[in-house]
Amino acid sequence: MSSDLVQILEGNTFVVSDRTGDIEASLTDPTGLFSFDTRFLSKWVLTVDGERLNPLSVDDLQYFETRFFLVPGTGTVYVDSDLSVIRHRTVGSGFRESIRLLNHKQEPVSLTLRLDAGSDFADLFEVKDALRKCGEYHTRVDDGRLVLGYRRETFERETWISSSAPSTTDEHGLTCAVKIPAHGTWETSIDVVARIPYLTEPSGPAGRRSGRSTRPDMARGLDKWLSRAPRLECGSRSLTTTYQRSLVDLAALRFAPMTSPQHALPAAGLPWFMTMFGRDSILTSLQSIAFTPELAATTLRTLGERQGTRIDDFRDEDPGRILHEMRFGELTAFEERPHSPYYGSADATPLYVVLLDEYERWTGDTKLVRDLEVEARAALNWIDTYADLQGNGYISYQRRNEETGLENQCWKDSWDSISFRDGRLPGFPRATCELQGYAYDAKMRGARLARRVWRDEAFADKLEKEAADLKRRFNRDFWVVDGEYFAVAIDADGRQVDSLTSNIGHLLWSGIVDKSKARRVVEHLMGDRLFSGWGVRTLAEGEGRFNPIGYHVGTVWPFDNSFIAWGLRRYGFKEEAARIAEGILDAAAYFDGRLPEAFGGYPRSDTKYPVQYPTACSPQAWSTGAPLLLLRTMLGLEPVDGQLVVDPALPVAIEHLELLDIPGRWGRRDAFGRGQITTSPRTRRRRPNHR
Amino acid sequence: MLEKASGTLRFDLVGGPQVEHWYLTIAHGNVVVSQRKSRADVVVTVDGRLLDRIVTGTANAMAAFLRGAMRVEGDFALLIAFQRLFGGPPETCATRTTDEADHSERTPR
Repeated sequence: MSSDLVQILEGNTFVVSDRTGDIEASLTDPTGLFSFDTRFLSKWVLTVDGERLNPLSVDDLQYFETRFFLVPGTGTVYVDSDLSVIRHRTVGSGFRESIRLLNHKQEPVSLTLRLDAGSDFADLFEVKDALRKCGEYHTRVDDGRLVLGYRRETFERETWISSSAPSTTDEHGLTCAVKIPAHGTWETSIDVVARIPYLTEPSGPAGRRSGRSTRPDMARGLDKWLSRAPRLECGSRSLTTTYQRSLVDLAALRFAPMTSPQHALPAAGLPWFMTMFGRDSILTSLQSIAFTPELAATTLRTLGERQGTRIDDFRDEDPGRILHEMRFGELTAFEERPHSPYYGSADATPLYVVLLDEYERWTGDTKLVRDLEVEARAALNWIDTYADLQGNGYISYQRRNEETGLENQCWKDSWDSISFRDGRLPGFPRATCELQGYAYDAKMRGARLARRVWRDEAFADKLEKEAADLKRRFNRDFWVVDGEYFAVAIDADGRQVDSLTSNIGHLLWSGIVDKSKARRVVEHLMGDRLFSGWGVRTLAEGEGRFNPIGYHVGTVWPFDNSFIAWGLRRYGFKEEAARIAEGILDAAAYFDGRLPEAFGGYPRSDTKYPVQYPTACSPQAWSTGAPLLLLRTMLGLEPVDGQLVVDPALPVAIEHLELLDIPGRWGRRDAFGRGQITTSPRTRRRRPNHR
Repeated sequence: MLEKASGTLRFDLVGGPQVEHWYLTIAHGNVVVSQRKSRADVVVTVDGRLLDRIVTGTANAMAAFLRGAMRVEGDFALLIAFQRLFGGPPETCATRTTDEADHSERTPR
């Protein structure tokens, strides 16, 4: 997101504008008012007496509201105006914009205020790919309200625009004749409602949003959310800032599904990915489970409700498969895109079972585990029945929808992410290594749930036996003997795809690594080829495709590192976990506590600061969740036999850390730790100035 | 899935000479279809031919809902459960590859 754009959102409704608050989008330009993956305003321009306005400042008040301070005239160096304009915008199911005009003259003034409005009703996919529309536009003035509309067969989307102050409405906007006394003010409130028949109407599944541009309880909701989360006390101002930033961003990333509008799950990223993603919602729920376990509950319920039940090639759907992505726009509605929902993810299904077990271990909510028994069993069944595309006992992926389906169905989903040392790309199907780790963990955790909650000893035994067999085979088949690490994948010909990648860290998290091999894996993770000083690179230096600013081929991903740190703790490598936590949290300080999706894989000693990877999506859910999981790993928080175990291993730079009121089956508990781990000299380099 | 979703969907089938009402009740894992009038948790208004396509797996209920070809008033979770009752489209790789012994169980139900 370009820094001269302003964005606010609520759920999947968001506004992206320039710094005057205006919107002037072209088909490919990502500004506008969006809701349910459709652009409802592509033009929104405020003028006073025909003149555009000039921004003095922008106040980002909350993630859902912002205020623009403006004066007439543009492009001049010297601004000395007798008039101030304040636009205060709050987003809901559309937005409300209060416009205040302040006359600084000693005499009354008469002005013409004009808002030009228009919409192209583009689908988000069209904004990305510059596609043309098939339907027809209409505009009407209805009882003083301007209605912009788009229709294609039965598909209808409308934008309703109305002003509280008297105005003249035409098909291109609203005009207000304004008279302001000397030193007086004038104000109007404009409501813009994104209207979808049968969806946002009162009786529709998103009906709570109906007819109003905003919800009155948004600010209160945010305060309540923040007050329910554990409290952090520590000596590091930057860590405190990062923690607060993570909680607020996680609040902004909440997304209410249509089937339970009063609950929320984490969407993948803001603003373009404000929708349900199996992988992102599950991983973020795992990262935040010690802080906001209710997100996990909604994630599990909602993904369970939409679990695959059939074979459908267009959607890459199988029985038991957990969805990849849900979308609501025109292309999805006409089945030109498969996102209703789309199932092309190879990891979300085993991770679903992992999350269910982790959730139960923290919360003791056995009712949900019983409620979701059928879904969890279907997910476990998917692993062996539908995901073993090569018949070799491993999860592989290969899309069946070759036109609009996803080629890479693991988290490293770019075209060149999985490669041999020499840079060659393997064919499909591909069995990436972390998928096998997730499958192992799902079976082990499924066995625990079967024994403790579902009371099915035979099923538990079967799963454990399968898991043990998988672990044995995996440690044999994926182990690259001449490098002493695990291959990133097995290709369609059964060959090891032998590059060294961060994926081996996920294997530690899943527990699939033989104890005897763990030390070598850790040495690779913390060695110069993978560890940059800030974190573990996605691909090791020296591999054919290595590029420190390549999306999945050399950058450092905070989310990836948070799971690697968890894996290091699982195998007892506390100091190494602390080094990763320190590196990533140090990096966060350079981004005001908001970690980007990825940053450059340059050695820390070379760049002094982390180089952000240019990306259109910020904050991103699993980057937001990374500091939370790192706090958990540093404090060594683990639910064991219904109690919260605390086993801190903190870098000395943090000095002390207290996390108070950690929710769980124990009620609320506090955790405390002191910094005792001396990290290597390289990571104790000059620290950023705390802002 | 069906054990959790329970309730009655009323389908108002349009597109014919007159609106037909059908009731589909999901309870304790059973599905009962009838034309006898009863209370409904969700009312679905849809063209009868489109419903046929949804039931045979050639059209998708969620997509139909998003394009306004299927109107839903009431408990949306029931509609999601309903959509999941049916098999996939007849033309799938799975049916084409049933000669592979390993994958024979992948035939649509």
